[in-house]
Amino acid sequence: MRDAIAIRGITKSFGSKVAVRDLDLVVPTGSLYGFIGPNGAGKTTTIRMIMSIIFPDRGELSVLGRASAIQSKDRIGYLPEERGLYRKMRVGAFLTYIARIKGVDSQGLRRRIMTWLERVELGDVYKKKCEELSKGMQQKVQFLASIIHEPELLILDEPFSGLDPLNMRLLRELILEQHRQGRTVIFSTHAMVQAEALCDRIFMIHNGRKVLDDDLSSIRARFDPRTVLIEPMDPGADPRCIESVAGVRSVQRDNGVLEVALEDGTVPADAIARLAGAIPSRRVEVRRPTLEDIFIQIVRGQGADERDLRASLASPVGGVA
Amino acid sequence: MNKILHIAIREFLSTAMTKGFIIGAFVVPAVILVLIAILFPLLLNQEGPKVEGDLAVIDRSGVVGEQIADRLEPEAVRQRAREQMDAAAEQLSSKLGMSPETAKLATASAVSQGDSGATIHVDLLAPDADPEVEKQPLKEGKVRDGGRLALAVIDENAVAKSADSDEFGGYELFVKPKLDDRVQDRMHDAIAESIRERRLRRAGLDPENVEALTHVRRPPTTEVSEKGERASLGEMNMLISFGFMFVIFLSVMIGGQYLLTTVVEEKASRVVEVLLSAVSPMQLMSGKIIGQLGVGLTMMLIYGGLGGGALIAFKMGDLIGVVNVVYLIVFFLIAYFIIASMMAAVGSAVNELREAQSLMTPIMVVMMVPYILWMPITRNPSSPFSVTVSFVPFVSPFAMVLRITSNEPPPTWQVLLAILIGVVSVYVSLWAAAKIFRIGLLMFGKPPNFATLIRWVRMA
Repeated sequence: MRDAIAIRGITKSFGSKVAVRDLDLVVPTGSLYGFIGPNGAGKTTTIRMIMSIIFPDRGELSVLGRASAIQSKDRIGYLPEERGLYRKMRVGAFLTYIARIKGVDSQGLRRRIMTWLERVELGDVYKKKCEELSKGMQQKVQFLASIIHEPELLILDEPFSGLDPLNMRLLRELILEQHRQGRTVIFSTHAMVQAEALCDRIFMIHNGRKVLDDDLSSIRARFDPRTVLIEPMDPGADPRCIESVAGVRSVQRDNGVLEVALEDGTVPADAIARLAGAIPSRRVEVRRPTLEDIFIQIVRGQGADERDLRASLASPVGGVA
Repeated sequence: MNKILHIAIREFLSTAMTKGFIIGAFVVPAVILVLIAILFPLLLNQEGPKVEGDLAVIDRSGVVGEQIADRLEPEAVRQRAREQMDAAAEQLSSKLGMSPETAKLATASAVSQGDSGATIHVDLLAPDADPEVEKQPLKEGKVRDGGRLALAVIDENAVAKSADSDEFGGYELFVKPKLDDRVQDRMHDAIAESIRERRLRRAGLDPENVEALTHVRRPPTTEVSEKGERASLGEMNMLISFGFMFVIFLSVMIGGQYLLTTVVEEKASRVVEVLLSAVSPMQLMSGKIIGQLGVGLTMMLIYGGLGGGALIAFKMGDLIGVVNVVYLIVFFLIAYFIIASMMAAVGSAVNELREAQSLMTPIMVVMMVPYILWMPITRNPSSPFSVTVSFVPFVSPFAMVLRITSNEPPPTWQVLLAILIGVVSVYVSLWAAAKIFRIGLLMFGKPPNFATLIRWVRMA
């Protein structure tokens, strides 16, 4: 099948600031792709270029087989990061309008909108003015505006920001449903836990450059675990007795749990056997690296400070429900 | 194209359905109509209130008392009202170029010639009655109770000069408090006219003869040109010119203002990026400009129709002319597209309406120019000044409409040249606005100044 999006070597600068540099990206049809990276990394700029809202200074891209998204706008659903509604317009009229300018026939449109509103537990707002809705409700209406024309490609820029845990779960189910129906879904987030829970492919961007682009399982395989967690039977046990175990680089105590960093080239399974013999333990496990760990590991090589990075990745709304 | 249409329809409806627009477009004209239909005749109505009572007269001259009584007879009052109306109609017809019949109709609606609501009986008192005593009844009761409403004291020398003075005497009028001023006027008129008539007769003159001798009818002015003769349109023509220009101005400003507001609203509420995922900036701008064009046209239809309807009602419809209406629409479109593109550009560049003010100032200054032009152009439609400004882009539509409706219409080639200049300016301003619009819509932060806007035009 043809790729939904193909980007080759695009660069975009605003004044002296280079927002996206020499970016290559292929989004296969039917994938659920997560764009991750800290705030200001270039996610929104990339998405806006895919949407042909802004244009790259250099490079080529094709969207749904066309040279520009303008030619296939009706087949794309887009939830911008900076999203809004007409405050004075009624919800039903707003969704009808958006659907109509996306080329949806008026036949049966009202029913379709009603069905969707009921799906997101907003069955009674059809005649309400947008300004009467709470922020979370507005966000659900905006999400509906991006899928009401049943697009082949769905691009969601920070879809979870500002949602409470219940609505976050609802939205996650809706996104997964769109994916199951064979649609290509791209969503961006600065909270990597969300991407980790949803995506099958990850595209990571930092300072306008692509730093990672792969499917989640191979990313995990590639970044093999280098940390073993040990919870000793005796909380006061002396960690020094395991520092001498072969393959251990360092040990840190954190809240009664010992974080053991392994030396490069050590096989985790062997290390676990040796560690379990060295100290009586309640629990010994290999810690799976989170995307955040991976991201930091990648970026640290570029001279960035770990604490700053962790802070910029911290989600203001917590993890996925 | 379909998308542009959907945007235009939404733009039109979302504006036309607001309270502000409905009030401006329908309620205000309706109120004006009602005022004209009801209040205007009331205000100008010569008919006094329903009052019945006496005017006591102490006629020391001894010759005008009977006269006054005659003049206050209902039939005489009606006759007098008719004469006044004819005089007013004559003035109107001559000054505004209305046909005499139309002018009569116009005044008739304002000046009632119906029955006087007031019936005044004259009570002739003895010439030597004491005014102080006779004033007493005025102090009692109210006007509506009837009885004595007023006391007139005619001087002894009102008609014939006395031996010791070189001047005529006059009269004094004492009235009850709150006696309607129109009733008072009628009393004054009757007394003064009676004295005048007596004086004339005493001088051996026939009052009717004097009237005939002193009245010169003022005819409508007739213009003579190579094309023949026609009635000069006089001041009415200037009013119509102004009307045409005002209708364009009003419609353009209203459409333009709403466009600015909705562009800023879409940008400020961030709905614009949702829209841009469905349509291109050019489609969005076109749709919005077309939608507000509908708003402007609605305004023009209502206000222009009101003015035109009024003229037709007064049988002056031929003053407008079909060709002029066509020109009106053409120049409206030119003026509208220029203003609308400026508004769209300004709206897209700023973050909120307040910030638009500084960018709007130059536009508003230019918008004032037509008002300044009105007098010089209508007074002198073919002066070098008038001809020059009618080719200056932007001012041209207004200046040309003033010239076309003046009594000295410009040659056709000048009109066509102005239209050509207009079309080119429309093209240029739309082109520039499209570039600013595209960049401005997604630009947040510090509002740009004019230099920045020009840089954007050059950039894209």
